[in-house]
Amino acid sequence: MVSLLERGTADKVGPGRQRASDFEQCYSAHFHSLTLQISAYVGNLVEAQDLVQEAFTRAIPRWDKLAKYDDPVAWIRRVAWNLATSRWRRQRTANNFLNRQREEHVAGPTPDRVALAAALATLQPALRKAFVLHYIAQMTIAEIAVQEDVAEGTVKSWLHRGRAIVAAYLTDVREENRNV
Amino acid sequence: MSEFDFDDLLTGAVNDYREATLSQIKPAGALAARATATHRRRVHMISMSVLAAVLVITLISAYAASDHNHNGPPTVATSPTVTPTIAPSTVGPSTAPSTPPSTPPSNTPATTSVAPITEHDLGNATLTIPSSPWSPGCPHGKVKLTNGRFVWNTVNNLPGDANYGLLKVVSVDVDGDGTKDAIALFGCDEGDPGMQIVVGFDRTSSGAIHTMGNIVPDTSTVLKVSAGSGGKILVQVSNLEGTDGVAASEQVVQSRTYAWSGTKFRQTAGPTAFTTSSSLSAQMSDLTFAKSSNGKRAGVMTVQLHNTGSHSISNASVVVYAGETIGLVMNAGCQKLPWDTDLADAEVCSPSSIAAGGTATVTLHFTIADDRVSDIQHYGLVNAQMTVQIRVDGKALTQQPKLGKAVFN
Repeated sequence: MVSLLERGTADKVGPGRQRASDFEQCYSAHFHSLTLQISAYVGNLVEAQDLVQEAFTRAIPRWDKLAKYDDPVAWIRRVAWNLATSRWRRQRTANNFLNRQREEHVAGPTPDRVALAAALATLQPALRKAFVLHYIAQMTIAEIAVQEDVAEGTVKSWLHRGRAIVAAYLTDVREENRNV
Repeated sequence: MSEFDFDDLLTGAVNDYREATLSQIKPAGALAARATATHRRRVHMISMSVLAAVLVITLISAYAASDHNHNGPPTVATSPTVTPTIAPSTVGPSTAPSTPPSTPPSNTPATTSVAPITEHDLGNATLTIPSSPWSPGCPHGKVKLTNGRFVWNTVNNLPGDANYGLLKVVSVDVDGDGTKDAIALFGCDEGDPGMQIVVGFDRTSSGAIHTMGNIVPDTSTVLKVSAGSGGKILVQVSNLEGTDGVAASEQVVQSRTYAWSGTKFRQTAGPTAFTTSSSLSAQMSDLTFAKSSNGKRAGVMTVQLHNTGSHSISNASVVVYAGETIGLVMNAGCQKLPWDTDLADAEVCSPSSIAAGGTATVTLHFTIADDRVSDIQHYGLVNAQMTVQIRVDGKALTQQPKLGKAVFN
């Protein structure tokens, strides 16, 4: 298979993980890549930024301990993903609604961003998460299997099904654009 | 479509998404995260300080009362209340009396034309909300709400970045007057974790909203509120102490029932404490990992539960959370924690009844990737956030066993 991995910007786990002993350094190194993942999963960039910010905020009280880990951002990544599917998120989303009216809004999504986001929105949560972790977070199948505590075959199945659905959606969009 | 075209399509979409999104991300910044964390810590410390002060005052008052009355007749409480029980000094009864409220609701509903309080009514009114030492982050006093949100700057100590609001309203005729009263769950997303408060409201004869009182005065985490039969209020509470996996797995979730006594809300059923002293003792083995196989090691640990009392114990359980480094295998006789723990991939294991003087053994299985072994060897199980908690009757033992060490063969 042709590698879909783009090195350099993603929040990568594995043997090459980076020791980030400084919170600010960790924040600046990983905020964007984590937000990229969560945004693809929840389909909302502003909400994704909130969730990742919250995950970093929760890391601060325990940073002395986390900083000693080989991969401190693994904890933050786990928290961000859990928040993305948690009761906290559902409540927070409602709570933040009014606040957002006062915030500076980011520019609207581009058609390219919409295409993948719309395709991902059609996936079941497990398939969507596997797709995001593999293609956007650049995790290997083995790493996803460990993180999700499932067999590698399960991850392969998720990715196979997810890829097929996303590809079909994108193909339809491409055909529609050609016919316009 | 060929496999190459297939991947090309996905690669293009992912790259487009990445390029288009990265430029749109605007981090609030590490400083903002630090400021929020500092603020939460401050609120949490205030919470603990206020609670400690209340307890000290209560103890001093009780001591003074007993000192000055030791020659007089015993004082008989006319309105018994449920008081918070703080570990580890839980020695008294920890189950609410099943007796009905001292002043039961009238059996004959009064004829009234007062309209029930709706969620819209509460969410767009100026309410009097009682203070709670357990939830100091919650606004109290005269508080204005608009569209279910507390309006900023209407409370003296309301921080600017707070997210407060009305989360749920349950309609229950708690006082038996024929009109449903409103039981409101407010969220006060301050501190770590956030706090909740449950308040009852009814209407005066003129139709104004009147505060009946704080329904759950002894904890700050309320997960659910629902209507029970006969004007009772069912509440699911927890003693959640943080928003990490350890705290989430160690939280004790309980169902409690409250009713209106005529003058205040009282607990009428369910446990009144999150911890318990028990005749059950526990001992944990080391966590022993086997040799590596396919990049992983399997580990096993046993928890021995010994009943030192004279009655059998039928409802002991072992809650285990493996932390972020070690994986927890689903064990026989165990199930995932039944509530939304957000962060904790934890299990609860329930051994069969333990006879007086008897012992039960719970065997727990784990796994660890080879490249994380050095983390455990260096930091140990506790620093890896592993936790094992013993419970009886849905309450945590006040004396928990200590984790052993990790052994790698």
